[in-house]
Amino acid sequence: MNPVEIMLVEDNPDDVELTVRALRKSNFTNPIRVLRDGAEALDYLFGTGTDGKPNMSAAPVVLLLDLKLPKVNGAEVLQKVKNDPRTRTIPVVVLTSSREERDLHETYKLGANSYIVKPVDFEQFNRAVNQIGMYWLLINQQPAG
Amino acid sequence: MTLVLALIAVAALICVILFLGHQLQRLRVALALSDARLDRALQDMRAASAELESFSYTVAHDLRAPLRAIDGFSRALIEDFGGELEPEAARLLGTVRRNSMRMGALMDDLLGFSRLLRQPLHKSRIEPAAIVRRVIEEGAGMAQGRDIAFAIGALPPCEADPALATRVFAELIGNAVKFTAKAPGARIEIGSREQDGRTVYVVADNGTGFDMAFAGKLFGVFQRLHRAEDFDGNGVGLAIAQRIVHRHGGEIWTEAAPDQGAIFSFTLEGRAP
Repeated sequence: MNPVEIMLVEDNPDDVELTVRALRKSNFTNPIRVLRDGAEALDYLFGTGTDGKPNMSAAPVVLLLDLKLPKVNGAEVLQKVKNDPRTRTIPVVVLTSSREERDLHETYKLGANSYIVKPVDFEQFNRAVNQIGMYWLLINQQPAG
Repeated sequence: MTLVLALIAVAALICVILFLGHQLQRLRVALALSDARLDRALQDMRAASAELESFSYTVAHDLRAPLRAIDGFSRALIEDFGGELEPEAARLLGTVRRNSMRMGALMDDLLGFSRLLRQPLHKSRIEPAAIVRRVIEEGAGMAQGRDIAFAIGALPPCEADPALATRVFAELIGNAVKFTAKAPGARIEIGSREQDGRTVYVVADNGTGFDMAFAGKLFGVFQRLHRAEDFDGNGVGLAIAQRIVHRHGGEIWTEAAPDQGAIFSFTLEGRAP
């Protein structure tokens, strides 16, 4: 079984805390790995393990990705993940504050599986996170790696 | 004699041609200059528009995050320590949350507004009669079972952006529904008249109206003529309607009096030159 199931790429520690809290409140106890910028995320996914091979065993069940990230932004992470046959099947849920149409178009063009605008209202935020967990962790079936 | 006259005529003609040539040259120089100025103005405008875009992006993304934290952590406090909180403490936290949500709504409106200004116009022939019927059907929810008499008069077709024109009717009808909430026998009339060769669309209600002394503020963003506890709203609807009308080259105006209702009139085309 995969040790990391939810990969959360988010630079804002408060958003991290709220997202983790919302997942836990919805009774998702799945292990969460938080990466604080795009470079860290790419390093985590494509970095080399101790045997010198890419550390693909670290691939999560679902990747929650913020768009605006330091160093390497979310769109670049998305592009790399979706262009690599080893990571292409990981569902990527873009979780962002941006309602801008061009972000929506761009991320779907790059292959995002879902685009969620983080609501300001925490109850709505809880519901959104709950639905993300339900769908991608429980309902959605993925091909066996 | 005729030869002399002919010579004079030719000389005069040459003078005129030389003069015209000179004028033409001057015009060309002026034109080139104004072309350059126009280019510069266009560049400035593009820069300003790009700046506005990045500004809205900042508002959308960077200002929402702290707001979410304020609401989220207030909520976490209520969830985790609700039992230990004095009722007054819980009430104060509720006020914090209500305000953060309100600010979120204001930001969404502001963003929607700036997006509207950037959105390109796609004009086609529209049928306002069908638009108005749809707006009323879809808006039935906002009337919340109230008994409102809608009277729809003649609404001739025109050339306009269908989505944006729908928005204008929706804002004005929504406005009328809102401000007739306290009027017994609410009545909303939607119709049109011909004026100076243009179709003027009219939305009139018998609602709470307003004092014409404040009419100048009516179409400003976030401007409100009523207290929040009397009528809710963010004060963007009429600002949006006005910007859409202006983008079509039209005009929008209003006549009202306190407790006498309000009449909004607008055109979706410019004056004939």
